[in-house]
Amino acid sequence: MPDRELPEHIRRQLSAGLDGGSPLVAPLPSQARFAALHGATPSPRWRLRALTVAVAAAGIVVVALAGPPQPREWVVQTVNGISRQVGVPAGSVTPSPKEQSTTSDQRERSEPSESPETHETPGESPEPAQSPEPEESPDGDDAPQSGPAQPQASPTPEPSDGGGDGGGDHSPEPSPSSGD
Amino acid sequence: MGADGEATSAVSRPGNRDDFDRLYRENYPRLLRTLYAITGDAAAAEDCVQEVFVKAWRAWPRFRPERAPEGWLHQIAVNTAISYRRRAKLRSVGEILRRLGRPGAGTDPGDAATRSDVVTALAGLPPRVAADFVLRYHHGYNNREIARLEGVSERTVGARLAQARDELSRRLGPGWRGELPTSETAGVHFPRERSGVRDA
Repeated sequence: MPDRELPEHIRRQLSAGLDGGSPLVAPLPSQARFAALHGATPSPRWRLRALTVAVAAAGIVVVALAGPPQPREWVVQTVNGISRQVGVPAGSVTPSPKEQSTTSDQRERSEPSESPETHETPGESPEPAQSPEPEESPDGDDAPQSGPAQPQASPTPEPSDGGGDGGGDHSPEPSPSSGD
Repeated sequence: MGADGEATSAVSRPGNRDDFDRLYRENYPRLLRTLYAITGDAAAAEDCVQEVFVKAWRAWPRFRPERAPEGWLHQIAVNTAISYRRRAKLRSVGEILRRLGRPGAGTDPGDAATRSDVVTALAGLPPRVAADFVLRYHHGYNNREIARLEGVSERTVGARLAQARDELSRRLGPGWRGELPTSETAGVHFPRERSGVRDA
């Protein structure tokens, strides 16, 4: 398809308009703006920057994936330790369920002797053989087993007046003295 | 060969300073006029041309010799002009917002005096349309050469030129619509200012 041509006087108007506003002579190459960049070889600095950013990003990812699994676990342990010393039940300081389960597991593994202290209710104690001992003491058969408790209780009734004013209700030790 | 440039028959070696200086001397006037038509501002056109050659110099070591350097520079120039017009539009919007409620200052009379109606009308065209119009009717390229220069189809170039003629004829007069070449004018060869375009 033949393209339209502009009339000659229109072309002259176009040339006059385009040539009127700007100098036609180019500045010398040494005066051009790109000449200022001549000393510096056009080495792409963005490659170095991109490489730096990529290495930093990879480092962050590696630290995030291969670092400690719970970086704030020491906080939970510290708070639980303080609460144990103060006497506040450990349940009142409740971290996230995951952390709570992990810390309780670690506590059971590392401190097995302290577990009965934290669980004061007899029903929840993991060793129920110790709790019925005071109840079986009146039978007399278990009295030697509770020996360590006797020296503490026996001195008090001996210097007493021995009147037997109802002291025999508490323990079986005062019973021979009261019989005198 | 017109005053715009010389023939670029020499091989352009990527990264070579002398070859780049030659490209600068040969292409500066053509790019300046094209950018003047797109921006409508002589100072902005000169600034854009310098920016074009700064960008080109940075990319010069990666230039592919099988490509025509004129087309390469032309594309950098059009993209630079598009960026300039986008920034200018944002600046004008900011200026309008800044002047809200104040008496309008109007356009710069100095700028209006040095700006012809033709340039004003060309600057109102889309950048690629204005660039093709200048290449076709001022620098003397034909549609095939423009298509090769820009890496588009001839149909695209023809559509852009038709759009430019319609728009300019509305603003400047019916003469800008052009006329179909007759048998007498078909053989007329307009002098070309542009340098040779190598086959891709």
